[in-house]
Amino acid sequence: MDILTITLFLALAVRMGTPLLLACLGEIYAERSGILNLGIEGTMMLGAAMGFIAAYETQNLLVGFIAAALVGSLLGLLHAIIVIFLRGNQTISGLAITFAGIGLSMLIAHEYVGKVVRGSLPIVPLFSDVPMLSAFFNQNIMVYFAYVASIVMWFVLFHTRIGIEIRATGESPIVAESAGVNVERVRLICAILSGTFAGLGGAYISLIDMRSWTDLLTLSKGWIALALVLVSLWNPLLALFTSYLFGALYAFQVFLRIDINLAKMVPYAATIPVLAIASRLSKRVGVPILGKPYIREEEALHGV
Amino acid sequence: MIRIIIKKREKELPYAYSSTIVILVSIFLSLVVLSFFGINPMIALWEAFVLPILTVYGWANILYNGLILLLCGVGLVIAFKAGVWNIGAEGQMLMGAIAATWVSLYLIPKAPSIVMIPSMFIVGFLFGALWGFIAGVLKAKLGVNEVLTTMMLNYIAYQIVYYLVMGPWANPATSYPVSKPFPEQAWLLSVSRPLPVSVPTLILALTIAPLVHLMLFRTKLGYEIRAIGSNPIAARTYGISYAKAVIISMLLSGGLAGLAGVHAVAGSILTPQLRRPEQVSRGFGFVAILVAWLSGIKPLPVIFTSILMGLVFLAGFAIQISFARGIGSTHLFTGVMLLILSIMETYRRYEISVRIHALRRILRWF
Repeated sequence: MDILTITLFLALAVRMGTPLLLACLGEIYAERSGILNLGIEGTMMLGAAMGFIAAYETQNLLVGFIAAALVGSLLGLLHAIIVIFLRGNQTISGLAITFAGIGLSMLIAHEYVGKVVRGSLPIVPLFSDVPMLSAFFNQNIMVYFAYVASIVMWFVLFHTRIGIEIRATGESPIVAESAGVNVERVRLICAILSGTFAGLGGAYISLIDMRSWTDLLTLSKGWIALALVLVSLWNPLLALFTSYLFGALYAFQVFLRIDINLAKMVPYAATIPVLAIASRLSKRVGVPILGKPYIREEEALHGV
Repeated sequence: MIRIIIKKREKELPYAYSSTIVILVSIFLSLVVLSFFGINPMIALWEAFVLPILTVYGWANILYNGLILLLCGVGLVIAFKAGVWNIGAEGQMLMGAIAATWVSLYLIPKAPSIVMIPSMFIVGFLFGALWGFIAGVLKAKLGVNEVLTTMMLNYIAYQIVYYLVMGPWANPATSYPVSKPFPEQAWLLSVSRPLPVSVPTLILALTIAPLVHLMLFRTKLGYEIRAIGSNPIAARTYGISYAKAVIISMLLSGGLAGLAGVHAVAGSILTPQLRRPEQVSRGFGFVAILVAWLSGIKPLPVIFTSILMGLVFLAGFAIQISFARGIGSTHLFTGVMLLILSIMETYRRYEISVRIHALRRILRWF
């Protein structure tokens, strides 16, 4: 492989990995606060559809991203209402949002199948002449948004009071509450955030990666992102690394000279052993308690 | 301000009551949503729910769907009882379908029905069980989240089927991605003539549901599975093996979905042959999650719920066909139903009352 091929490969990895990173970042916050949002796949799908429609009608990709973020936030809010205020089962509610999102995206964008979106995002021309680096830095502003977001979100989570509140809420809600944290509010905000980022990730696939609409566009990337949250040990900076590693895995398919259907298996097959290793490691770091509703009066009765 | 007040009920509401509400409310909501997309709800209701139960062909479809959901649903009941979230019935079904194709086309293509059909089901069970086993072992031994592994295994099974029907098992007689048709001794419907339903699957499913009921509620193994599912820490303290319960429940759950996969291809109303994965599993594995929950995670009510959901599934399919909207409406319906279910699960256990304070203040002002 010569330098040019490697640069092309890396650029493809960034293109494939950015939606994974965006979806992963939001979900890290949700899970850190104790909310498991299995609706990521459907949220990405509906974000992709709404983003595509908005961008197609206005000929402006940024409008598309904003629309996707809004729709994503709404789905995040729906999940939050069900699991926080109505104490619904987090797994069922998440799956519900995934299926409803997939179904709605197919119905809404039915008339857009095959259409191509025009326009492009502004590009930051950093290192545009340096072969390998240009793949990472000669990129559009959404990629930069993802870079900056993962650094900022890492800093907030581990070095500010807000971060401590989020982590405390996830690890022991009753202790957090006795320390004056509004558990419900923290969880509400984090759940909405997971939807917002998933929406953006979906729009990245439809507006930058694919640029045209077909059904089932996000193709399981939401589930991969959910696995990456665990693999990154709920750390936004590690997510930056793992997401692009998996982006490279997707890019690898294109360069792999085997049957296309077998090549498509690569990311899924790779996820399982990686998950197994990460599950081993995650026992050593603090793991948020997922899937359990916070019921104040019952916690008080039974203790932590 | 809106305030939601939640109070624990002294007695939980029965599942029969809450499940009926879930089904009725979600049918209503789905029709409302569909009407936004230019689908007339009254015509949809007629075509989707009334027409099928008036014809033999409709019943053939309902029972075909119902038997798939019955086998998958009973399997999921075992996994859910053990507290394992098996989302992989879809992939486990596909493995069963692959097994049926392999046995009937390549392993014993000349065997008579009496040998062929049992071997298809046995190998199908084993293939499905293998798919469940992988996720079960990873969860039991390494603590890997089973939702993610079973979902990944679904996608891997999808790709294997795609690979087979477009590559080594492709039917040379056509350009469609399908396998060769099964030999006629393997057609479940032709051995069941004149009945419009696959008798082998019917017998199998109607024996398995009570057997699983006995296993769960009358044997030591069943007791261990239920104990691990309801309180793993306490069960471990009493010396019950967590790994054993999780692995066995995933094995059985996957195996039963594998049986459903055999029925899905060999009992097909169209020509029995392996097709594209979305035409084989068609989301049944996900709808089966609903079937298990609507039955209150109990094997016997699954018999009734699965036939009912077989009709509902057909309804989604009829809406797809007559309004040419793809699989979207089925997914939407599954989603809406799960959404209502998650709320109803709380309502079964808690009284929920919503108080709108501003409204009351305004009313008082009058």
